[in-house]
Amino acid sequence: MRKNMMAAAAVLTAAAVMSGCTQSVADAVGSGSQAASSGAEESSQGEGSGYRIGIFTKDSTTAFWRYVVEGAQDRAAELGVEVVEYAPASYTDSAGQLSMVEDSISAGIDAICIAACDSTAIVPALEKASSAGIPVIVFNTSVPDFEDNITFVGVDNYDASYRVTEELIKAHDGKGKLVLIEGDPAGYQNIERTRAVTDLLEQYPEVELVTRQPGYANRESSMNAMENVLQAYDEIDMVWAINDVAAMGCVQAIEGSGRTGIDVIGIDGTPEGATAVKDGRLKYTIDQGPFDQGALSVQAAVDYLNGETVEDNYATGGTIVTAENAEAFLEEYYPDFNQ
Amino acid sequence: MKGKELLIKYSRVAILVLIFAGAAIISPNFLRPSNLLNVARQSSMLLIMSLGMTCAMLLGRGVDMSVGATLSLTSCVAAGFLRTNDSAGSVIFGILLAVALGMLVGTVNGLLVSFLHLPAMLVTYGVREIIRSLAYFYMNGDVVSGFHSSVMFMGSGFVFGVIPTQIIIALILTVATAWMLKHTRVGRELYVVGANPSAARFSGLKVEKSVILGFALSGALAALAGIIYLGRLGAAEAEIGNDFHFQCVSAVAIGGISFAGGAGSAWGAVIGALILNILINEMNLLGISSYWQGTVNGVIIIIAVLLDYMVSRKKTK
Repeated sequence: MRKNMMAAAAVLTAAAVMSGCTQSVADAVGSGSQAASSGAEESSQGEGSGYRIGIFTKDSTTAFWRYVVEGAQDRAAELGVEVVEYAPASYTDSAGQLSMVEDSISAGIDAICIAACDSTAIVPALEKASSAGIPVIVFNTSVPDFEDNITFVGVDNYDASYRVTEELIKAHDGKGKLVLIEGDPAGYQNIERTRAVTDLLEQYPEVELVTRQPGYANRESSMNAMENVLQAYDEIDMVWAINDVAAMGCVQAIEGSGRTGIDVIGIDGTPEGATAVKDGRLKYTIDQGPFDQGALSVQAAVDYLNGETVEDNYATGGTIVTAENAEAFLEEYYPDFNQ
Repeated sequence: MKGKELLIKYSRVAILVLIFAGAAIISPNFLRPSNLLNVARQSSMLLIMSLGMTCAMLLGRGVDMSVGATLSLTSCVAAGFLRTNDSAGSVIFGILLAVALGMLVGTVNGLLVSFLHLPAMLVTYGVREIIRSLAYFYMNGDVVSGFHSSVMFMGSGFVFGVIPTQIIIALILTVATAWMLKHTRVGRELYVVGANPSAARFSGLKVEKSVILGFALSGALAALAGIIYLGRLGAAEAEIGNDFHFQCVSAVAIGGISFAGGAGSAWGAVIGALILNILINEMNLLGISSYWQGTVNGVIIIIAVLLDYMVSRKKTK
């Protein structure tokens, strides 16, 4: 009897520790990567020499962010500055990103270029940076509550979603049944990207929103969500996914079900997405210009540090990838990508 | 009294039947053959990993937190050998490589747990972190897609044109695991060692060997699940399977495994995986927000643990 009581207690404690420790260990370690990479080991030439620019991406694992970092590194090498990459374990790890920003301030970084995991949670850390005199460049995802940023680099989430979704609706003559496979329902990026869709729905009353399900911008969750949607609804014409990875999960679910005549669109213009567009599996995706996001952010940081003028806004990407231009798009931006 | 004991013994089957019936009554779409196959297919992957989790947890040393990371690393490493234009030999090699790598990870877990007497939960959590970062390093953000037709057949194909292959594979592995646990010497030793390690040692059993075997089986089954996963998603990427260990622990807990070791079965894992997935499917069919899905899963897990507690209390009385 006593032994069993203890066993039960152990189970409960174990469960509590398990759920607790993932979080705290991840927070404490930051659990992501922080890699110094270079531009200028042999610094002393170039006017920007010696600057250390922090580039904060949303995770260290997806191709998109790798292209951002590559763009940043290339430009840093040209300008003779150093890029330090900070990435949390996943794009939902906003606490991890927050501590990375704080750590970089202590480490004496010269400028911060950030794609915020959570546009609200990051604000105090960015304010701390500004008041310490560190310029902040916001890229990829805007941070509306932080007004001291030097500039914004990237595509407006609302805009990109609006343009690619309208293209899809037009291809269906302004009518049909639409499914949304969202990202994290509470995320700023998701709110902006889906707001574009709901605005379009008012403009195109013959488009019916069948259902919206969260897929957390993740391939497997989006695939599961899409499979369940396919079970629940017999008529679907269009599927909108939060990004290309999620869109490919939806495509896989639809192909697996044997259903045809459903057009899926993604956002981001990743090489995987563009290849799927070329192969006719994905209808459209829209480029975000990851290389330029990295490169222009570093450029803006260095310009600012050198006392030159910096624009309020730098637009990147914006190309809608279609069956007609997908091949050319891949050749121009991702010549090394082979599937 | 007798009736009450029976009730507790078969309570999990009863819960499964109740949930199934409830789902059928509430949603007319639930009983559609395509939806039932959908639920079975979504349960298959979880089931295969949970079979491994069962082998590891029978030992009573704790849970295996590394299954999701093992699935990720092994599938990413194998992916390069399983592409569309690869030969059949390459595909077989890739699958064997994945399983061997999975067993290797499991063996490391088992060695640390058995010889150093470390708690499995923390050891496998550490191993998970290492394996996962290796997978990230190996893939460097890439996504590999375009797999050999045999891999696609395993993950998204159909047998006789209607039954998803995954379900068949999961069933075969369940029967094999159930048979191994019940009718082979090594399988029965897992129970004996789990129920009472010192008695097992006195009767001449090699306790360490059993512990290593339990964790190695867990790694191997995670690797097999990974191959099927490649065929299901049509893509290999390092970030898959992040929370699979929690799902597996939930499934085997609901299926009635004893956290103290020595009790539980392959069929329990089937019941657990089905209960979890029917609930999720039903909530999706009803359009219930995914925020509530965690609450429902949590309640079910606690009920399962309570049942386990009641059963073991009965025995000692």
